[in-house]
Amino acid sequence: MRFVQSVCGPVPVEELGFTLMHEHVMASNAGVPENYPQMYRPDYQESLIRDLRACKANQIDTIVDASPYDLGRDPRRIQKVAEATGVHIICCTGFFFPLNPSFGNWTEEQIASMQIDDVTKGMAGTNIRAGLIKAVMDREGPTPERRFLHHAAGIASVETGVPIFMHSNPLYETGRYQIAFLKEVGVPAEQIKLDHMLETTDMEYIRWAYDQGVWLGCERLPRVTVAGDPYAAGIEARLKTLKKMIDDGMADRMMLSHDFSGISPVFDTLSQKQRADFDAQIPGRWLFVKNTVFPRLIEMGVDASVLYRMNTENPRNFFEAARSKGEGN
Amino acid sequence: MKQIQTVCGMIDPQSVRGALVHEHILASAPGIPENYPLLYGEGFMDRAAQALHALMENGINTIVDAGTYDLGRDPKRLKRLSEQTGIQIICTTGIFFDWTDGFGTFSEDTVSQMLIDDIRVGMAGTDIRAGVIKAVMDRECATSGRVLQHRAAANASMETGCPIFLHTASECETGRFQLQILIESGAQPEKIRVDHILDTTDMKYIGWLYDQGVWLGVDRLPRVRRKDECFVSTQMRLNTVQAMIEAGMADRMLFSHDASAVSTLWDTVDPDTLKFVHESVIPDGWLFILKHAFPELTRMGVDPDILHGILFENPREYLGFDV
Repeated sequence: MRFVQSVCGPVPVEELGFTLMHEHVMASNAGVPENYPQMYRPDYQESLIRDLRACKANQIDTIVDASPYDLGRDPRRIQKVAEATGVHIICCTGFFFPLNPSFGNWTEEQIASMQIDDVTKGMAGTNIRAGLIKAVMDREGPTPERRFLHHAAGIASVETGVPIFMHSNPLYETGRYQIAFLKEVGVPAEQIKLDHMLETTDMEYIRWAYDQGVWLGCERLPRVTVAGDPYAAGIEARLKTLKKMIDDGMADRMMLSHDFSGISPVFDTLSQKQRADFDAQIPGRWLFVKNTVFPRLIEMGVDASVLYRMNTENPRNFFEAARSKGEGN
Repeated sequence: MKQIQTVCGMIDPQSVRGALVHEHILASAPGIPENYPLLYGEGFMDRAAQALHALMENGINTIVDAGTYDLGRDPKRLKRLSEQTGIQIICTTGIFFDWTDGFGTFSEDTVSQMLIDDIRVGMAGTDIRAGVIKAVMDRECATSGRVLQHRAAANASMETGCPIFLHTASECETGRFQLQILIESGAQPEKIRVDHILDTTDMKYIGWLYDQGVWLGVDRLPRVRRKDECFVSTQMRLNTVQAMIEAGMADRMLFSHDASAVSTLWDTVDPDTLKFVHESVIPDGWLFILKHAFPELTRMGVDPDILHGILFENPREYLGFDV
């Protein structure tokens, strides 16, 4: 039997249930959880517990927290809310930002070993282990530094058997470089999930990605924006893309999620008016996919059982597909 | 009675026998001490302890670690080093990086309270308290984030009495903006030190700063640099120090190197660069001022008693505050 490391210990893949594969339980910045948790809203814990209980009440069993240390990963506080609510929460390792100059001239292997420690020993001096590895490329494109970080993530993934998920920018088709970089260090396709697919409506690119054998993360359902953010595909365009992907037979490797932050100093400090606009875009918060997207897709003619499988069987198969060289993963 | 707040608690200012007021014992990036201390490399605590022992052996017993949380401040390890070596270490609160983008819009009150908590309650979930406040402006100048950070520093200083020091870009005279914001917010000039003065040679700017009643940090002696970098040279810095002393500023000058004992930045550069830095730029590390700058300044005609006063007397007055 295969296990996934949640913040409360290993969970058999059979018990993951309905899983949101790319959310942010808590998102801030490097060093904030340890030094200035005052940046979280004062009622952050109650707010998270409320959100997670709502998930549980709606049969959402598992959430992946997509924040590596430089998005303010906070394993201790996340463990507390997971214990309080019974939702399985899975933390990740990896690097969101290009390496701070303070990282100096570390090698790919050395950076990989840090991620391996997070996966096999625990994060931030705890014994809470990471269950996924994140790799990131955005519009900066395939810079040497991004290639380096993808290699480091790939080495850690091959060594531990823990799968990789990727922040990508489909408008720039960064997935083409990202998958190539991971292949360079031998990561099998079934161990890779390419996220943020719904930023594009280009079925040719999406089909290409599917044909690589990787998993497709369909999130930002909807994409929540604040004034001044660049224009992004709206929810209707995203629903249409989802429908096309399902009709084209990709449902066996799709997973739907929101990429929504339960707690984030950036969003929590918006003015009341901005906050109201923000919340209105995603009624139901982490329930939007299940309670709004699924019914809409059913109306559009998608089979309900297909939808359900995308967030239950697929996450299970994704974690099961990852092959471990080591023990206990 | 005035006291100085170190990582091991309050001390009498008279117990300070020589202080370097702007150094980095352990320097990295936010989240590194807690998440990836491996980046410091093997034996890093021993290396830091050796550098501190060397200070003690040369008659300096106090040092300020100028690292804020976002430069990888590590209060627990600094306390351990202090206990191990007997050196009195003072920790810093404040924010190094500009928050204008990406941090949310925190109120001045929230940020002020974060700094006050570091000084009164303790840093990073410990009861180890900060003893100085850092405020930073560089070439980005007075952005909205910078203005807020300076106001918060001023508020925290007024509330606690804790002294402030400023990272500045002297070549851009950012000190003018920084002092304006701090004084407008109510901070006392005698609680403020303006650092990195020696990155300029403009005595007019330096004279203006002195006339504001603030302390002047004559650090980056020398300025640590790589082969391909060019800054105001060590000799020019010494000339400026001499000119400042001759202009009667010695009562409010404070010496330091702004050098790191252990840094993720320097520890992983290629061996040639490291050799260049350690042999050509800053031989003897934190002892450069004692072993190189002081003899040279004395040879140039500066009274050694004045130099001694700057290094041994001034810090007692600057660092102490009523708690």
